[in-house]
Amino acid sequence: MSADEHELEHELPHESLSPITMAAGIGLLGFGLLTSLVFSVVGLAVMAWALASWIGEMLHE
Amino acid sequence: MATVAQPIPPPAEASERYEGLLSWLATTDHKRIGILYIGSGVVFLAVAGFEALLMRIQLTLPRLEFLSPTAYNALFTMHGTTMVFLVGMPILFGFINYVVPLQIGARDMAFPRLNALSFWTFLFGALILHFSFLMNAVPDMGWYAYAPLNVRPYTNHPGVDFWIVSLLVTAVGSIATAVNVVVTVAKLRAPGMTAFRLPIFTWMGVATSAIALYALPPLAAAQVMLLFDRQLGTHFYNERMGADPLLWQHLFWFFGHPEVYILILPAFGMISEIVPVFAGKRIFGYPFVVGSGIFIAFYSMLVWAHHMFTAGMGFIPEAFFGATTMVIAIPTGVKILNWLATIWGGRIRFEIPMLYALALLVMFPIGGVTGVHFATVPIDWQTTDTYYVVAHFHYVLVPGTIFASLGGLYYWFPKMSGRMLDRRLGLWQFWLTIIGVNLTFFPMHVVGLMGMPRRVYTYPDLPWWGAVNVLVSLGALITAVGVLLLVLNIAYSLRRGRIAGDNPWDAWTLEWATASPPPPQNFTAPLPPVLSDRPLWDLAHPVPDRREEAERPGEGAMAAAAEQAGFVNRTPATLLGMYAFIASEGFFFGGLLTAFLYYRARDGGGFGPHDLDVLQTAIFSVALFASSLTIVLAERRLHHGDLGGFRTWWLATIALGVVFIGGQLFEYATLYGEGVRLSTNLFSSAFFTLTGFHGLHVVIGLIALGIVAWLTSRGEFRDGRHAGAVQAVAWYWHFVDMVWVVVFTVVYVLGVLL
Repeated sequence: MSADEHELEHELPHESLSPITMAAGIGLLGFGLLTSLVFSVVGLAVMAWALASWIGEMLHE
Repeated sequence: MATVAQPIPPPAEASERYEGLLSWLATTDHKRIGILYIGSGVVFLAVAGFEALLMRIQLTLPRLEFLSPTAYNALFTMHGTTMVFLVGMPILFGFINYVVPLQIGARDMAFPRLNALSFWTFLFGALILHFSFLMNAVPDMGWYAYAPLNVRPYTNHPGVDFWIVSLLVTAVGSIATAVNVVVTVAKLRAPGMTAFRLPIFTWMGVATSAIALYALPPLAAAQVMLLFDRQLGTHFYNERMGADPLLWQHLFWFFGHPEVYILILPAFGMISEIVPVFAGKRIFGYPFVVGSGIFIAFYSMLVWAHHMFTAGMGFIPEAFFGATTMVIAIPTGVKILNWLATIWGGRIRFEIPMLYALALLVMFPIGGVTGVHFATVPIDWQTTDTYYVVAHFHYVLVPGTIFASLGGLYYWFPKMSGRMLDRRLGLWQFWLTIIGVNLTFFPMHVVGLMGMPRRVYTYPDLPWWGAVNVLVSLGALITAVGVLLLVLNIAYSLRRGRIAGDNPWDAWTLEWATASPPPPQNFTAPLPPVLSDRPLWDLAHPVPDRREEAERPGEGAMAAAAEQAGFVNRTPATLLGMYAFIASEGFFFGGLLTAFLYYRARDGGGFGPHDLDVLQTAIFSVALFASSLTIVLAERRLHHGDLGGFRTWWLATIALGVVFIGGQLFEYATLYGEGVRLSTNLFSSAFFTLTGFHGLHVVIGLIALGIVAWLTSRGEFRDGRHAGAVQAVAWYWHFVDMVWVVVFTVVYVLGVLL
């Protein structure tokens, strides 16, 4: 690997709320298993939204 | 490998979209994420410490009624769980996050967003666990949650469920972090940084990640089965339906003992950074320090059952695991001897990081030696469930993990904050901690050998028991004062601490080649050439042929082999990450398969393998196996730039996957019509769980395939763009197929033949 390759292959991504949103979705999914499945359904929806947002950010880089 | 200073491009623009608190919530910067991990770990340390203090108040004198038995059970369960999963792991992963990319000269982790996801899943998992306090359903079955205490009717309240779900959520983050660390070190090293030039802390970060990849998934499998027992009526741990509670112990300790090394190896890495710098000498026996760490990482999967000597496994397993456990003391001893040899003849600077390293060198072997005692089966029988065990593992984890982390904090705090921690406060804290920890845990050996049982909320007034326990509680109080002083020191030094400068310790690794704190892109000046494991020392002491001097025995051959293979260089980071994830998933299915085989041999009549329709399953299995072929054809078309062909074969793969899932649903519906349920017997529990989880993986694979198909329709994969992502999805699909080859063979084919 050359010096240029080392640096150029790895650009810093923008700040993003997708990861915390995805984590919140995973947390809600689990929390719903303990309390009410409504939370799990909301968690799945939040995960889907976060995934779409995440993919969108990657495509625009 | 290039050995010249490399140019650094200007920092990425427009990376600051958010300000204030939002910028922390949205950060993908490994340094901030590392600080978030460490900060969260310190908060949970305060929580777990408070729980410990409450327990110590209860145990100060015989027959006290400060806590009820139930409250005491809940406190020791939460203390253990919190210390292991919410203090030790996040603090160490925090240091790995912060330090490793800097040490290898990278701008960030390989997958910065995934890194952020890892932290937030850890935090949400931790919050779920502590939400149990608000629900008045605090886990109270011990951090090991032994069966059958962990199932209904022995524990009816949802505390166990909170424990399971919270740890499953945190495990997502831990596994993702492990994947990230492995790929970061494999792909983003500075030019010249060969395997034998990696800083030892980085090496230990990789070794720890390897353990996390193989040890956490079996625990997740065990917990999923426990959750099914409690929520869906399966029988994995229900002894009244013929289950064997030892299955839980095997799966739990297959995770539990390697977990000790997840908590220790990064600590050893920190000591391996601190000791040479403050002794003014190169680490003695670098290959042995690194090699012993890697040996521990993989060998630790062979020692788990020494936690089960009193479970009645029989002579041969006990002898085997006793022997393997004794052997694992050797590589740890190798490290201790190497650190001592490094110190020998050095010009020692007694700065606070070095004081903690020296304290570890003196105190950690106490825990190590008592660990060897437990490898001797008769001694284990006599001392198990006494305070001798509590003394042992606290001498491992406090002087090991905690002292090294404190040393690491004093060592890297100047890099993180730009300011030095106050030395005078640090000295007070150090001595209070040393006195407090020894006063707390050393007398436990004595009272343990006297027979005082652990996990019991009170004790009888026997000679010396009360006096020894007063000392222990006093020690805990002194330790707590030490922790308060640390918090004070951090708060004070962040505002008033002495300005650190780039390299306040005259250290040698690359993190000290940049500003304190480092800029977002980590390095603004060209990196120094990496000619050995201490590039900054080489820079300050140039000699005509440094390369030759720095080379170690075997390094040339290893580098040549790596160059010839070129595997890591050729493999895209995304694909390398997928390989690591697949390995981890393999261990998850290994846990489920273990349970299936365990109970396959205990066929108690009723629904069994002979009731399965092998021919029908074989037909829809062919569809899944064929999908591996179509996805290869799709990849070939993409490689040749034929997007239309790619899309055709890719859609064919999806269609075959849907056929498989349809077949599986048909099989389930048929069995349901015949009255077979998850809860019918042990075989049905194991069968539906194993095949159902495989089906879930197929569905996830189909979603991934669908996303790629949709992106293809938008023209996203033209000219080789995102080729690594396509390869990663394809490999995941091959993995799903491979798992089904094993499951179909074991469950269906061998089910008929045997």
